[in-house]
Parts: sequence; C-alpha cells; structure tokens
Amino acid sequence: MRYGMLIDLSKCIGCAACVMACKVENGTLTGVYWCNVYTKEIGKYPRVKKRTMPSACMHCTNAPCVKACPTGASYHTEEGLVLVDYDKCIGCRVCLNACPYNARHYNFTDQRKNPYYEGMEMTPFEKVKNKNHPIGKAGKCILCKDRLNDGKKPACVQTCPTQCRIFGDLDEPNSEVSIAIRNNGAKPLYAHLGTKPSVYYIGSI
Amino acid sequence: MNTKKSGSKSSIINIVCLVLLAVGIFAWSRELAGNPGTTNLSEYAPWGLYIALFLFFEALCAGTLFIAALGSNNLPRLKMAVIGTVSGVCAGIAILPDLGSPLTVWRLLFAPNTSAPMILDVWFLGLTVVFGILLILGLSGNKEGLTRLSRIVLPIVTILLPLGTAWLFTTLPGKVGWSSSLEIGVFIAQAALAGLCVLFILQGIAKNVANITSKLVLAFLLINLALIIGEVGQALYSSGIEALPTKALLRGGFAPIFWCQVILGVIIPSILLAMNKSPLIAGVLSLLGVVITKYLFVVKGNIYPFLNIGESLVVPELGAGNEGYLMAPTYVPSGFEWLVGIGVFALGVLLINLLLPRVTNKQVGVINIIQDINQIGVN
Repeated sequence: MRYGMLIDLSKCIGCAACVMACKVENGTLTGVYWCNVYTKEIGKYPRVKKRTMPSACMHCTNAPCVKACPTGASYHTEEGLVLVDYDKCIGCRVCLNACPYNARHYNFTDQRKNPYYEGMEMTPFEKVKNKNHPIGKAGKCILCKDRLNDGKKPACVQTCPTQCRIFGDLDEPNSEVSIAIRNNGAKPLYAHLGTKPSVYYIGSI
Repeated sequence: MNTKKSGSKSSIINIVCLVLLAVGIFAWSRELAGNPGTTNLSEYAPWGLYIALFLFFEALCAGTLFIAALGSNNLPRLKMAVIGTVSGVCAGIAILPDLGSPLTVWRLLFAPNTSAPMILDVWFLGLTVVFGILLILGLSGNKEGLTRLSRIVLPIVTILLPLGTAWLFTTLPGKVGWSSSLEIGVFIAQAALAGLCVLFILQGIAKNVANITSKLVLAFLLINLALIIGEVGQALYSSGIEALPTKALLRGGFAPIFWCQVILGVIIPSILLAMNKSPLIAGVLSLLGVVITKYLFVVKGNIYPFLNIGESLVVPELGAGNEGYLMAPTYVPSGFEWLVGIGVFALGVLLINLLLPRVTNKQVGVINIIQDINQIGVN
C-alpha cells in the first residue's frame, strides 16, 4: 500500500479551505502551514490570469529529506507516508534544505510566547495542539495519519468544496486515484529531480 | 618583568573571552527558549550565520592542520596544530546553537543515518580533531609514533573534511545556489587559503614573512578569484534558473557584501602581496574574505526557494525577484545570532590562549605566539 493524492488544478478555486482544515486538524504553530495554496499571476494587463496551486508534503518514495536526515528521524511508514520522529530529530534543518517543495517546516518559537492572537493567551485549542509541535523540531504534513487510522480521508481532501483532491492507494491499480492519474496523464512536480512524489497534478502550474 | 606583563595581558584576554562567551551562552539560551525575534532564520532561510561559521572554522581547521602535519619544524608545527585543532572544536561548537535540540546531538555519533552526507562531516571532523590532538601530544611530548601517525592520517582527513561538506551541499536536490560542482573546488581552495593565511598572519606579526608563504597565499587568492570569475561568467552566459542565485549576488540585496568580499577579501590583499606591502593586513583581509565567502555561500542556496514554479508565484511573505522568480527575503543575522557567533570566536581564542602555554611550556599563549613564528615553514 502506498497512499497518494491527485490534485486537479482546473478544479481548484483557491478558497484555501484545505489550508484551514489542515490548520484546524493539526493545530500547527503560528505562521506554520503544512498545507498551502499558492497563487500565480500570469500574463500582462489587461490579459491577466490568476492560477492556484495547492501544495503540501509530496510524501516522496525517494524522499531527499529522509536520505539527508542525519539521525534517521525522518522515515517512511509502510503506507508510504514520510513522518518525523521528534525524539530522534536534532533540529538541524537539513530536511528543510533537502526538500525541493518547501514542504518542511520548523518550530522556531514557543507557542506560549507567540500565540495565534497577539497579546493574548493561548486558546484552549492551541494548548491541546501545542503538545504535538515541540520547539526546535522539524515538522511536516503527516497526511492526517490519525484520521487515516480511523478510516477517514485527510482533512484537506475531506474539506475541498470542488473535490479537486482525490486520495487513495497508488499501489492499487483500480483505486479511484490510480485510475484518475492514468486517465488524465497526471504528473508529479519536479519529476526530473527523481524524488518520486506520491502527489500528482492535473493541469498547468 | 616582561613575562609578568605578558601574563597579565594574557589574563585580560582570558577574562574578555569569558565575558563574551557568557554573553554568547545567554543569547543562545534565549534562542533555545523559543523567544520570537531571537533569530532571523526562517523556513525560507533555514541556515545562516552558524553554518557559515562552521564552514569557516572547518576550512581553518583543515588548512591549518594540513600544514601542521606536513611542516618540518617541530615548534611552529605545534602552534599550527593547536590553532587547527581548536578551530575544529570551534566548528563543532558553532553547530550546536544551530540545533533545535542540542541535547540529542549524541545521536549523530551513536545512532546515525549513514546514508546522510552530514554524517561524513561528523566523522571527518571528529577524526581531524582526534588526530589533531594526537599531533599536539606527539609534538609536545616528543612521541615520534604519534607524530608519524598523525602525519600520515591528517593530510587525508583534512582533505576529506571540506569534501564531505561540499558533497552535503551540492547533493541537495533543487538548491540551485549550491548545486554547482565548482563548489567542491571552492571548498578545497578556501581551506588551503585559510590555512596559509594563519601561517602568513603569524609570520606577519613577527615581521618575518617567508617568501614561499607569501607566494602561496597570493597563488590561492588568485585561484579563488578565478573561481569567482568562473562562477560569475557561468551565470552571466546562462539563462536558466541555475544562474539566478549568482546573479542575485551581483546585484541583489547581498550585492554590497559580495563586492566587499571581492574587493576587500581578494583584490586588495592580492595587490598588497604582489607589491610586497603590509603582509599582516593582507593576511587578515584574506581570512576575512574566507569568512564572507562562507556566509555568501550559505545564503546563496536559499535565495530562490521555489525553483521553476517560483516564476510569477505570489507568497505574501516573499517578494518578487530577478526575472519574475520568487525570492526569499535577504537574510541578515539577528543581534542574538551575532552574540552567539562572537561567543564561539571568544571560545576559540580562550582555548588557544589556555592550551598554547601548556603544550609549549611557555608562560602565555596568544601574546607570545609570535616568538617562534620565524621558525614556521612548510618545507
């Protein structure tokens, strides 16, 4: 089994609901977003277009962050997820440099000193989620592994109003995601780098 | 009387170093506590001053110990060995404040991921420091066996040390500012230059510069200049994204530092050496050039974090860069980072000042370091 995702850019409306769903599910620190929606401005006035591009960890099969991690803190699960073992992470940030997708994040500040609402105390939500993000450790999208264990889809997939994200098992040729990738000729980002991402895109970036 | 005077000067140096070290430790503790604003590092500039310092001390260590291992005169070799070994220790210390969890650093030694190039750094730096210590013990205690062993091993590991670091940087995928194979040559040339500069500065203080040292420093300055010109030329004739980081150094936010490095760190010392004037200033400027080169190298890798998709991309905290590609903001170390960095330098001076008298049986270290400089040679 290898979990993967297909993102259809032609369906993405750039609402950033996935960003918020990720934030609510994982409670990342202030300013840290494991899931992002980037925008692009194409063309020259008056012929200008805006494109959107959702992005998060690509859970690469040949993950450079796993290779570069000096202590083995970054690792693959049997389902192909790339995760970080906080006990092993020394906070060297080589994984941030190794990831060509800018999908790695780092907990620079103490959430108590930099809460969501400046000048206020942490909310009860922050207090609960803060424990999952120790200072001085690298963090990243965990593909909502707890939700997966409960048989649910990742929060970003679940919440997308246009269903531009399809999630499933890439090793299963008849899964919805595998069929969609095949039928649409979907491609991963920066395939030439040899990272073998588990996230594919349809449409131009 | 002179010994007493030198002794008190040495004590003052030690006290100043201890104060700076304490300030550095305080600044580090503020960073470790996760206080906002203590560091200007970010997700788009994950490495900065500390890594640049590591690279500088590593180059200093490799170059100085290479010369110390191959030098023929015992006493100057001993001093070079002490400076080189302390530089190696400082390289290791400079990394510690960069780590988010320094208490787990033991994992690098006892539970490493051997496929990670960073482990090469750990092994080679460890070996270099160990054999540096053995060289010091061998030379100071007249133990021929230890000296001979270090003489065989050190030239190998001091070459492998900068190579290992170069492999770490150049093999990171998608870091266009670091990916050029030219960087491997730059790492070796910088290490050689740094080692020669130490020798040259010491000779300069003693006003007894050996002609061969002067020529070698000039040669390596010119090699460095050639490598810079090579990199710039490659960038100017290229239209790919690979060329953008170097172009950004030429005319971006880092341009003043880049041109300062070229003029102050390479051209002026080269002219001074060619004219046989002010060797001390030439040596110090050359070494300063190495420091700045390392800093620019580190920041260069993160200038364009998004590669090709960065074209026309909009990320609120980043600005548009050269040729429409998204650029990371110019990284300038925070005040706390500077304090930590100065603390690491202070530790180096303190260690040299404490170690030299003991291993050379002299009353003071840094103050009297010049006394035997005229004996230094690299025959």
